[in-house]
Amino acid sequence: MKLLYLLLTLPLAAAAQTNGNALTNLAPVSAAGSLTNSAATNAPAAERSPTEIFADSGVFDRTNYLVTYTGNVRVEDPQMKLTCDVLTAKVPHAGAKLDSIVATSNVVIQAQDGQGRPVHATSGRAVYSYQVVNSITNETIELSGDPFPVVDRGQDRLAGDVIIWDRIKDTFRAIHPHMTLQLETKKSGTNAPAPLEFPVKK
Amino acid sequence: MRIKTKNFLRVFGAAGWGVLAFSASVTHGQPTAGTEGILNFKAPLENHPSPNEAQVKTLLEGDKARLQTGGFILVSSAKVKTFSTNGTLELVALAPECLLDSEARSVASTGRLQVQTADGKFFLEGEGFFLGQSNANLVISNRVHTVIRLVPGKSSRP
Repeated sequence: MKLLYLLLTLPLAAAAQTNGNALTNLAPVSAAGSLTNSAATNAPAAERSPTEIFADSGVFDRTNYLVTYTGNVRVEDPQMKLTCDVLTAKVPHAGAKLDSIVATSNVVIQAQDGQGRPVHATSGRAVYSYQVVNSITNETIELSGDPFPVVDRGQDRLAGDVIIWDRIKDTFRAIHPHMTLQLETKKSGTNAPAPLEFPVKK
Repeated sequence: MRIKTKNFLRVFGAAGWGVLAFSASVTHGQPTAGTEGILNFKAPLENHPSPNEAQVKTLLEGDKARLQTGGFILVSSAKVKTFSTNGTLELVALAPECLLDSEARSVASTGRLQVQTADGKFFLEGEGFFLGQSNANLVISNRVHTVIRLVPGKSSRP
């Protein structure tokens, strides 16, 4: 007897937050799995350790101050490790600050959320943004592309066309979230169907 | 040796480097080209586009420069400096040795390269590089390692 059970790993939000990104159909999820509506408090940020990037080769565009890394690209900082095939970083210079790092192809992120729980994320593309505006730090990672982004935090799993991880507020938000259906089969079965995964119809 | 020196200077002339400046050692007061090559070598690689065409954008310096066959110049203790349009130093690249192609105005080496922005927030190193003038790209061939220092502001953490 087959038992159909639903693994819906993301709480769907009734109301989408915009956060200035003009995004719709967002499902904000806190690190604890509940909805969040955090407000900025101007808490002082801790001093950051440097971010390191390793790669087989790189091209420095001196006109636009962009570096493109290719081959076994690895990004390491104390809070996150990222691997991918190609990565482009804007070089901070002459008063300008690093504003984004774009990783493409086979993106894998290993990190911890604000509760110290491991976060494993995969996607076809990831955009890391870091901005300090009026002394307020904004730090996000936007996952998208093909394969579609998946964030696995052990006890729950979030998938969607786009997932935005607010590293400061420690929230995950999905655009066009996906859910996973898995059919339980007999242990001795040899033709077990693969889990089905499809976008949630709104 | 005198012939070598003349050829050396002709290479730059043929490349149309009207503003090429040889910075002489203080003791001699003018470029020194002997068996050891030219000391305190300096060569502007490119200027900014109009309307800042008078401003040097990329400058190659070296403790020593020696003419090689095929129009190449071997530069020791090389520094490639990039300046903004107002003359502010933006970027410095260091290499123990590099080859300057006087006709293509490109710089290359199989050795180590270290690049750092003037404010120290970005550091890059690797092995083997090519700096072409046609597309302003610096290609680092192997074992690229970058260190980026982010300046934090106040957190919006709740």
